[in-house]
Amino acid sequence: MPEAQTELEFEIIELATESLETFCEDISGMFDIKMECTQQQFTNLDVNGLKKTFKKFAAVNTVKTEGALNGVFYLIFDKAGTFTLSGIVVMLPEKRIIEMAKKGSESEAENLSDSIREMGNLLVGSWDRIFRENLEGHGHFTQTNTFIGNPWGKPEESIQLDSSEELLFIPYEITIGSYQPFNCGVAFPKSIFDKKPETEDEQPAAEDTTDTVEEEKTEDTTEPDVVSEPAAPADTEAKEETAEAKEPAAPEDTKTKEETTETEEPAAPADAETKEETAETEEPAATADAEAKEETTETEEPAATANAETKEETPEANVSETIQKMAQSPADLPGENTLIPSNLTANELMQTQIVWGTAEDSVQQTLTNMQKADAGYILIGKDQIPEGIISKSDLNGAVSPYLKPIFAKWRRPLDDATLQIKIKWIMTRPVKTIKPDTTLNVIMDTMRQFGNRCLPVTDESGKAIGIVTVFDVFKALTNNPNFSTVGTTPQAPALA
Amino acid sequence: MAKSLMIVDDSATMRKIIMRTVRMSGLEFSRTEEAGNGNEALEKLNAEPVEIMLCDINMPEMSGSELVKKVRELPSCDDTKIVMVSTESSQEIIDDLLANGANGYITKPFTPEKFQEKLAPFMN
Ligand SMILES: [Mg+2]
Repeated sequence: MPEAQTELEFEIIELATESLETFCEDISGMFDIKMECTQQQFTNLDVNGLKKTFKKFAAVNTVKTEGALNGVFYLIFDKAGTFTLSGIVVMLPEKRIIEMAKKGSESEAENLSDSIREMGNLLVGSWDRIFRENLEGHGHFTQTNTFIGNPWGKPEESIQLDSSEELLFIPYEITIGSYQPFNCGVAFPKSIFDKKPETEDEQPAAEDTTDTVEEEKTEDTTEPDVVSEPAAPADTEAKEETAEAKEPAAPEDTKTKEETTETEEPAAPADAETKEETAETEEPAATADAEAKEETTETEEPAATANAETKEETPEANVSETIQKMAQSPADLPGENTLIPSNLTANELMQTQIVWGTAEDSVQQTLTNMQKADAGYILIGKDQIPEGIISKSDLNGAVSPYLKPIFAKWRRPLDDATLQIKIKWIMTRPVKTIKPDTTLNVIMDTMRQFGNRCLPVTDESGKAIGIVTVFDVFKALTNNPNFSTVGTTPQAPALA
Repeated sequence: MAKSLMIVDDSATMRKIIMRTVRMSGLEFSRTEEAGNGNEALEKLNAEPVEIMLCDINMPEMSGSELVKKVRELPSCDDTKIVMVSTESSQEIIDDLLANGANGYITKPFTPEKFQEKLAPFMN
């Protein structure tokens, strides 16, 4: 195999780097982050070489090209890249992104598949633009598939790449803000650089087969992609809603940070506060999610399981949850804590006063309703069926911290605009509910597992008849004669 | 009077990104709708037309250009301004869309400034 690159290959390498730089600039502008790439030494290799770079996890975007280049090529992100980029897109908390970049599982990637694929779409868009402007005879780039997972076992099936195919590979290191740098690369099958026959009969056999085979295969690509597909819609939706909760806060947050450098004093508390709210609305869902997910990876077969919601509710997930707990603290087994009154149920704990709102209400209206009723939570829905739930912290997280009187001096029209955000964008959805006969133990466990501080109680028809908040739980516990509130919790372990 | 807006894109992530960017651009809308495909968009438009529609091109089932043609057949949407939002940068495709009833074009990736620039003419 000749190692030397042809003139066309050199031109493509240059354009590839320009395209990726453009993508980085595009994403930087779009998400207000600093994203940069550095080209590494290009090589000629085969699938095994790719496997060494990308290990057991990659997001592979298959790009069909016609015109000056003919066939398909691959834009590949490693695990850290896949999670960092998609995490930023859906505005996951930084801590969560860092965690997933290190040890995100295939099923976690599944939940982000819509944004991973859309990132690929943007990537291909940037590339197409640069090639269109600079490469004579360039036709069109089309993203035909995004494979997420380990493609190297059967690359013919997963990404329609023959293991014997020789590839020109250009690796890049990408950095985004303060996140760990990650790897990405573009792999061009060498055959893509073959000149297209001038006339039909010149090299018909060889060219034709590559062309049609690849075309047929790319049509098929939706099949293998199914690995990630089924979970995507519902779950991504749910995730996004969670991410949404934080959404309006994020730009403000960045803004606050900028102001910090200029104004010092007032910005600091605001910044901290926004962060805190964000963490509050975001974290729990993500953590609960992660717990369930990690279990799934350990027990393998992540692809087979549906979305997180169902996963959390499957008996398997509960079993592993229990096993995990047993390993951590045998005293903590559910149902065995004698301090918790086991006979109390939601029916006895719940508040029956429910404040209702609609998804079309604005943040401002909802804040007013909450204040009027002195309620910490508002259920969103029609005919007593809860479609979403919104907490005081959700609202605080949604509105600009600059609306506080202390910041009046810095207040801008955009800050007031946050009061007009509709509840549907920030409410938590779907709503985790409990039944009237759900016991205190299960209520506490549900709250802890799902990170919910308020659980609506629904009857058989799905209508909400009350809510149980963490405060109702505290009240039940402190009223319990077995539960002592005297004394202090040891803050440091005793020396043995 | 603030205008109403509909975002049509097959990717839920992209719809949120667009929504976020629109919000960051400082433009205010009285009502915002989302649709994940052409049929859903048509259904919602039939129920209640919007004044500005942001529309993806590459969507399964019904492409953005097909949707534009169908929207233009709805008398209630005569005044709806349709701005395409897509990674597609081929001039022929863009020209074809503009000839078939689209009013503007924004390439993905985009910035809040881009939205401000492209949508401002339709805001009054
Ligand atoms: Mg699309």
